[in-house]
Amino acid sequence: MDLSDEALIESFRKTKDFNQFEFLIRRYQNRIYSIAFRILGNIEEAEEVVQETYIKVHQNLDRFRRQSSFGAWIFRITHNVCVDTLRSKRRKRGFLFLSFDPHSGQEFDDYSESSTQVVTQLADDRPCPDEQMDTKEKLEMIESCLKQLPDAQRMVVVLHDIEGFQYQEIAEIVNTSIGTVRSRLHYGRLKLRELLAPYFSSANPVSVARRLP
Amino acid sequence: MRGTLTDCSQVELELDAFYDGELSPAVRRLVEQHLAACPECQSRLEEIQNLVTCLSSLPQVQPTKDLARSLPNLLTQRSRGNLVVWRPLTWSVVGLAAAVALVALVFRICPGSSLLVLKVPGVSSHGSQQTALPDEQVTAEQPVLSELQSEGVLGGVNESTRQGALPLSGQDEVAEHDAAKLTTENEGVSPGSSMEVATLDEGGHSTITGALGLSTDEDGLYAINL
Repeated sequence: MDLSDEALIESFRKTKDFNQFEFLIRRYQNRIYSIAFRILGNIEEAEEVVQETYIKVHQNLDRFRRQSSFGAWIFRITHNVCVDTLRSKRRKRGFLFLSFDPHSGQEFDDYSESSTQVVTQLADDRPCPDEQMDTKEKLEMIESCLKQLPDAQRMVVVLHDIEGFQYQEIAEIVNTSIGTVRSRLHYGRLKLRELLAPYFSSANPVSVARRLP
Repeated sequence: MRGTLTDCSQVELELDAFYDGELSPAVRRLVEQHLAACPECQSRLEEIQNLVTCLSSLPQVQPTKDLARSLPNLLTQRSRGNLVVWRPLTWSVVGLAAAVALVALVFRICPGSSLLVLKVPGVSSHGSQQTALPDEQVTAEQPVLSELQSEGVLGGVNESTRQGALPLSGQDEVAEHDAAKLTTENEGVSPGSSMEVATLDEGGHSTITGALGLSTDEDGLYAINL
């Protein structure tokens, strides 16, 4: 079945054949899960995000007006569910840090706790970690540093550098301007470079084949 | 855009978009001109390239099961109001819970009772305690007329307890009925200073026929009809 998303939506609206809806959303399952997992860092929560995204798509499919692609729409829902999950996680932890991102012009949650850990890592004077770490450890270090980014920056970095979305697509997904996307990506990468500097020499980045989005 | 990009701090702001191919042709040319003469910015560009290579090399992740297949069940459960996806508590609920917890610290609520007793801190108690406990001696065979007598002596209180009414007793006793009782050791109360009468019916419903609402005595003991 090679029907386009729009054709599947139209068919589902007419026939109410749930198999067609299932087929439609399954196309996006892995990417939704991947985004949620990179943002939340948790398998169970990532799967919950996928399920909640499916439910919201099903409940609001009538409101989809093709002003953007179905893909952009479903990833925007995914983004919103991730944001809700992050907020609820923060509430569960019992505190809420709100800081103002002067570079993005938007408030977002921050992890001051993690920032302290970063300082400790940077002050570590053990032998060059780059020589000690294998590829798996490096990948784990990248994921760990990714978690230390502010939510808004991590979202953009994940969408662009891991999932391969373009600036315009990200602006639609996170509902902001391209300029803000540029800014968040710049400062997110800058912070990641600072965090990873002790672990990676510029001559020896992780040599794993680039995965196409 | 500015005609030249000579300042490294300006160029640095453009480097990520330059690497991503998201700059306009005019700005791109300016950055290229700067890079050709600036080893520091070339080094920064290389760092960006390495970072993006690292990020894009993260292993692909997939859900452990086909989540689309379980959607019909999820929708059915959702329509029944049986939410599978965890929902965070709203702040209002948390606030309400905190308020209840706070009240519970101050008040001691008699289980199954419509009466509540609290001790106000800072008021002389003369060693008295307030407890609000059900009384197992209360029988539900017929409506019980209870009299909360404050006679200033414990003996008088225990007499009330034996009558199965609203005993003034510090002993914890288990109740089988959801009846309202007010129990206290109230040694400091002057005879006749406070009297409340309640009737308890078979269903455990109480009717205060005496002093209703808030009553106090010199020990700072309050009885509040909820």
